[in-house]
Amino acid sequence: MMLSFTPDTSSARSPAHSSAHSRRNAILGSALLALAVLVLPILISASGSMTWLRIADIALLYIMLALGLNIVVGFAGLLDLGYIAFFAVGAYVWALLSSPHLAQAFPALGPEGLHWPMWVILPLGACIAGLFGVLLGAPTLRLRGDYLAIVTLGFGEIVRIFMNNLNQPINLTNGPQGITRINPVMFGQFSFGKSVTFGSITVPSLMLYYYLFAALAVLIVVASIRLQDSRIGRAWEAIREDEIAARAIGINTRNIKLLAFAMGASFGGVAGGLFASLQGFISPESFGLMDSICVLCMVVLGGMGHIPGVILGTLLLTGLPEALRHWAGPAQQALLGKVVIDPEALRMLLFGVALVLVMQFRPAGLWPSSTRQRELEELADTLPDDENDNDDDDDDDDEASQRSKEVRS
Amino acid sequence: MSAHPDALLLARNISKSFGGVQALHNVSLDILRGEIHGLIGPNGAGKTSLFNTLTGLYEADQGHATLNGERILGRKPNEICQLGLARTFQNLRLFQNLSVLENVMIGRHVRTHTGVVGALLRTARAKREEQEIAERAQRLLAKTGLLKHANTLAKHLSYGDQRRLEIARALATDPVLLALDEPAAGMNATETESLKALLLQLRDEGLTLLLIEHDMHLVMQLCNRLTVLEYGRKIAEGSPHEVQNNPRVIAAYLGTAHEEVTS
Repeated sequence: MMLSFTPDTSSARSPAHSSAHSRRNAILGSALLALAVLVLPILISASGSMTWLRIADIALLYIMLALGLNIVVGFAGLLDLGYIAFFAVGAYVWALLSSPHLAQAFPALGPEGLHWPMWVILPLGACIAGLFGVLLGAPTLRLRGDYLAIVTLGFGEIVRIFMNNLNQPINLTNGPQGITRINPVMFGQFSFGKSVTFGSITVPSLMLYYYLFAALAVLIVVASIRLQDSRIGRAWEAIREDEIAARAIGINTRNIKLLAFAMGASFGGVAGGLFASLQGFISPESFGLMDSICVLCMVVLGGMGHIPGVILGTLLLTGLPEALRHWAGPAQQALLGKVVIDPEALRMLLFGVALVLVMQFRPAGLWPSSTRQRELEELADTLPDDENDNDDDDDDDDEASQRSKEVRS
Repeated sequence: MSAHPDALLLARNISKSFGGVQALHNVSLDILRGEIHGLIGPNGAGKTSLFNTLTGLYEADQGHATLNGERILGRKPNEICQLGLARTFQNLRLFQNLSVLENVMIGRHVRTHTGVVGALLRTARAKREEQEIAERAQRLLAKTGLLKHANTLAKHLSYGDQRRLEIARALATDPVLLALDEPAAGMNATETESLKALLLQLRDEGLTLLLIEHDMHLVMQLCNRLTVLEYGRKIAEGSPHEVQNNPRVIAAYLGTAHEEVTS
């Protein structure tokens, strides 16, 4: 029997079909996808909407964030509700090292503060975020599931509150006012903060950022795939499946879990740094619990542990709410003559409904990995018809129906 | 009791209690190189507790144990595995949602070295190692007769195959001593027969085995020596024949005439 060990995880996992054929399809698919990614901002800016270009930029940042969280939650099975903290750490590292702000606290730096180049700050931000991942992960090593979620939720809030209050005794973060005048990304003298004109074509700043973010997002996707398909990725999955068995067959679960926290956090740190440079301004309110939950939703909605699924979930959850924000008001105006439901409220409402529907009808996410998919299908086949549509893990339900039968009899 | 010169695993005076329950009481155990050593006793005798203590899942209250001269008590399960003691579980602990092949590949973790950098850069060394892991895993699947199920999820295997997969996964760690906790439980006669053949083959290849098993027929056929536990104490030790005729063992399993009269 031949087994291929290509980067494509699905082909290594599913029974091998004609591999030449599927490889050609994969190449064709990625080429089309690459073309779409390249052309998208041109189409958007042709339509004259800078707003949507910005949304596309933010969506790319969210992809990096979600893929980072996917390592912790999807691969290693560690439920982390404080993930946005690492995004915050990355953003603050960037902000402090490339804005005039630090000059206030340390006059010795001169009036201009620090303006380090991106090549230094971005890796440094990733490393510091990774270090925070280890620091916050270490106390939770013995926790799982709900307990882990509660502790990480607390850690996330602690980081935000620190950002909010570290304007005393020395003004490190400028507290709730946040840090302003953060440098855009610079390649030497070339700034991503201004639009560039090549002959007759003007490329807006947001489009420059788009291509930079797209390149980094691709790097992070590749890193995720390679990690998942490696000795380390398998060890993460082993821990997710059965921690005791993982230890018994020689996996150092402490180190491997910390590695998951560190890797996930460093992806978040990269995204955070880029976010700070794109916005030029950051404050603690961008890093609240809702933001952590939002990233988690992207991972869960798309399909935990499945990289294309996570990307799909991210695109949906960044795109649809924005679409709604822009069209829900005018649509109501046109249909009903007035705005009945505030678009912002409608957004949260639909968000909630979407999650409930996904949990109900596609518990493994919109685009789960093929193994997970297969497994759910097989489960559905074994269940009697009337239970078919609802679930993944039927233990609770069985128990509940057992109990209700007992009550009835 | 003096140490046997050929002893691979030496355990001395191991005690372990859970609250008021003394699960193990001064248990000593010698496992000789190349033998199949049976650990038997009635339910609740402490067999699995001894397993868990030796493999690091429980912390012993007292006693010491060495494998190949290396201290194992007080070490973590993964370190003990690294030293060459691999185990299976009484209630199967497979990585259910991973394929059969992946389960065995994970078993190679402890003998391989690729780290994050190697994985991210896909260095030549990492690729070679990955290839090696896959080949080794497939060889082990072939040996345990699971190759045709390589891409099946572990949880979809039949019960007997799941037991074999656990053995394959443990073998992937290159153990010097393989500890099996009731490997034949729930197997039918054919499956037990092929398990027996596999275990004998492993022994002939030089592996030492420690076996907890309730199937006395199997135990008597397979084991070179037996240790019998009852209520956390060792009550007998020796060849199957000696143990079979030991009055204390007979009493432990069947009860004594005296007890029958009084009860």
